[in-house]
Amino acid sequence: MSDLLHSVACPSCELLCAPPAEKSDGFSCPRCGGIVWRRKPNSIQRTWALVIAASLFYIPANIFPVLTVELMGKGEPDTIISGVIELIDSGMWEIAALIFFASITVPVLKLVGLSYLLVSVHRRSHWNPRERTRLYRLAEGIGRWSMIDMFMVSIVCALVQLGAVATINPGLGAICFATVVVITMFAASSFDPRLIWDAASANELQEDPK
Amino acid sequence: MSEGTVSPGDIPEGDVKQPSRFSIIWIIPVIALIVAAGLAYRTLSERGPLVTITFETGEGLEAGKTTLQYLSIPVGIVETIDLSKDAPGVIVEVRVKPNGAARITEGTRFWVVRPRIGASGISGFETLLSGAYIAVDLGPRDAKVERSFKGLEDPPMVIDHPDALRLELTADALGDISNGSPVYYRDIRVGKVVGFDLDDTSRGVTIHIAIAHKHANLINANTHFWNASGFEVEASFSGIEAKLDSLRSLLAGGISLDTHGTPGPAAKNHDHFPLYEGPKHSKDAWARSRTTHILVEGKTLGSIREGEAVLYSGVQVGSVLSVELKKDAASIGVVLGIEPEYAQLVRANSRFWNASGISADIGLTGIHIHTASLAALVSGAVAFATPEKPGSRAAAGSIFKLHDEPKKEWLSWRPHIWLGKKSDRPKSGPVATTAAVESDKEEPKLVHHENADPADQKTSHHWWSDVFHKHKAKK
Repeated sequence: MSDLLHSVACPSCELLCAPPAEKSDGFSCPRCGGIVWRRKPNSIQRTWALVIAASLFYIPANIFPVLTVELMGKGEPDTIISGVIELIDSGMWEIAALIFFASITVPVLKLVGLSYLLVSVHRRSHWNPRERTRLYRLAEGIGRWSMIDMFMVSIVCALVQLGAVATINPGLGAICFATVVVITMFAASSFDPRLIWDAASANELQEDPK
Repeated sequence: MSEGTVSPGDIPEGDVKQPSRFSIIWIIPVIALIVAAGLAYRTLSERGPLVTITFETGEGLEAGKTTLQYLSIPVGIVETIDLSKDAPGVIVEVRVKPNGAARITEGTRFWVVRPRIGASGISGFETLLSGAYIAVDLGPRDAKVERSFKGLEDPPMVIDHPDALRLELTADALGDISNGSPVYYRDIRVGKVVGFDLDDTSRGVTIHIAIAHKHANLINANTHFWNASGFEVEASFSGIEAKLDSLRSLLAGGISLDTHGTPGPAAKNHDHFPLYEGPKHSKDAWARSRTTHILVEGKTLGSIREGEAVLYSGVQVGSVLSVELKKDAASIGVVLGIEPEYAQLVRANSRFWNASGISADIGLTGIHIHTASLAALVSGAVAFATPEKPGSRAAAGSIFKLHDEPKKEWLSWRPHIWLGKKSDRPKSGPVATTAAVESDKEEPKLVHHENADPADQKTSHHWWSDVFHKHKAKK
């Protein structure tokens, strides 16, 4: 029973193996030699570090212009939010909503969601682990969609280089934003959702004997 | 080392991967912090001071978009536009870049560049597409730093020639001159009008012009400026002469300049010059400034008018500068300007008379009609003669009596007076000379050359000194 509870599946070859000692977190898979971690190593620390890094980059990503559109010599740099406002002003609600979702909602959701999960794991909360796992899957799953903005910026900048007639250039904000997206993707993948259940099951074990 | 067949329990301790307590991952937020701090520092260090400018209208200005430009280079951006609370107009706050901030000092001027169509061409054309911008003419670096300004409604002096010579011309009225009107020297464009304003007393206009740096050496204290717009028609006995400076300046308005005589000391920035109505006025004024001023007093004026001739043996040697009624209203005074080359002719014992009109002698032999010249018959003239033994040379400011008609012997006086250079004078011959005097530089001596009653002399003395100073001021 205890062996089954503590045995870990190798991520490479799916062999179910028992960890060598109670305290150790990582060992080599006896079959394929790949490293097997009982839980992702340093998961909480790593995730915290990446979430903080992403949050720091998120500030310049919103302050600095993402791209500059120049038509006939006229044009101003646009930040994410000023671009959204401009799209709304020109009546393009759908695109504005899409950009708002991809560039504002998703990164904020990921950063706030991961922070909440980290705090809840740290406090060994056992509140609704199923919902929290769903939140994690959501954060991990939608994170990559933030990149559609960056794809759009990079393609448009590469295509629209018509000199004085029309030029689109990326701004510093685009680099910061891309960094935010990449770092949050790593943050999401470095978080181990099993920790949610560790805390929940530890509490269950404590409560059950009573 | 791991081996596939051993049971997990047999794995040696060395194979166990113990994660270090502090993960290397923390380097990422540290880098993020450094990058963010670096960006923040860069942004803040690029942030110059906020300058407040008030304009009459905010037409074409947009917060966050309108730029501040110096020599067509952006040096700032409009941050906010708001209505002025206490005065009509708008308040524009401009964030200036640090490179320009040091020169936002007293004397800095701001104006909005919009498309404008004027006589001298179209300006601000580029703003049709790009939208208006605020142009700035930065002040001197060493002046007092200032952060609040009143914007100009019209573009002021050019700033594309920061080292141009800037002069101020004073005129009675603006005429056809407008901003950008050209300034010509012998039909070559050497500068332009960069602004105009009513003068302090509102009794004339001040026109600001800028002369290109490479032509600045043309301007000196003796340079005359005249309005070259339009044409001048001059009617005289020799015919009618129409003069047109150039068709271009007729359309656009312009100013011409020239230096009469010897150049004076070089002009400095913000020197004042009079703007004459035309080339003739300019030449007249110059000629007048060189003449020897003589006053003649008489009882009646006849048909003497300003500008009329002063005749010597029927030759014009000067002109009437002005005609004044003396303070006691009992007599008139005529100020004569004698051409410098003829100034020698006026001697202490010269006699002046009114040569206008006709005098007729009716006698047994018939009717003799005397007139000094045909021109004098129609208009008026002052004539004078100098005796066979000329007296000492009359200095500027000399006062003579104006006789109503000449005595007979005056008309026969033909003294020899050398008019050319002293060195050219033939050694022999009965030619009277005196030391050549640059009389126009002298203060008037106010000498009475014909006996008059001393009380009368005294009043005319005061009056004449007034008149003389008035003429000097005109010059």
